[in-house]
Amino acid sequence: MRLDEKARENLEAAERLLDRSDDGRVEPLSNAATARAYYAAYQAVADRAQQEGLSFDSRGAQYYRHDTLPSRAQEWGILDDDLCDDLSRLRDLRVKADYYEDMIEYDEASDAQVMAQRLVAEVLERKAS
Amino acid sequence: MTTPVREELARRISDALSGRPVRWAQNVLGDYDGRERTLEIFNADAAEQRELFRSLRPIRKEMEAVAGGPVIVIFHTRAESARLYSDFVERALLAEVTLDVDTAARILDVEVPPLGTDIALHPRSGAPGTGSSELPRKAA
Repeated sequence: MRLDEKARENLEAAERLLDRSDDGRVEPLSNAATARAYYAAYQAVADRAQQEGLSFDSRGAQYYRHDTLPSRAQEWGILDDDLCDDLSRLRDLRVKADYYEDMIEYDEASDAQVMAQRLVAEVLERKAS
Repeated sequence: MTTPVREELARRISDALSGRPVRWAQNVLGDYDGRERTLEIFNADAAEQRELFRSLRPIRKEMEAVAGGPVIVIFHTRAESARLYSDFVERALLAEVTLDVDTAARILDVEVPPLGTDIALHPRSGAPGTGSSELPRKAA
């Protein structure tokens, strides 16, 4: 499965995890949705970077470091200023979702899903065109 | 790592974010890229976070230089700030108020010019007036 396909799958996962029903039987899973939204965005950018032959910057395992990827992707021309901010915010929300005691609120998770949707669309559509 | 430079930067970031309490994270559980460069910002609700993050753009390079790399920014909502971090938030807000009061006191310490000013009297020049103090004065 390619990274761009994984990006789309994670995006759909984020949407499904935010589902809620009027009767309260289905509640949104905001922490999980936020993490999936970030990985959708990360994989879309990583896919573009791979397609363009841009190298990893991690020393051990081969991957694009999470802390530096937004600014590197901006330098590479994959992201503009606003999308760079969005990827940074998604990264930071995902850190909060996974490592902090805070509960991610529904509005934060919903924002994350919207940011990821826009970023994945822009990055992958530009690749296609 | 806490250094005076980092603390001063945190104070300036707090000022730039309307006085919201800010601190460098310490002893965070887990491991992630940039863990040692994590900044926490309190009392920031979901609807405010985008603009707050954007307002850091002008100093982001400086933040990176001081922190030693990209800074991970954790926004704590008002509800979670009160639920989980009330000790720190109260202390930070109290320190801010104390600083304000201290600054105001120092300003008042400065020699203030007298409210009244002595006016020198001079002999009147030109035509004398009628001496009337009635209002409105009507033209003759």
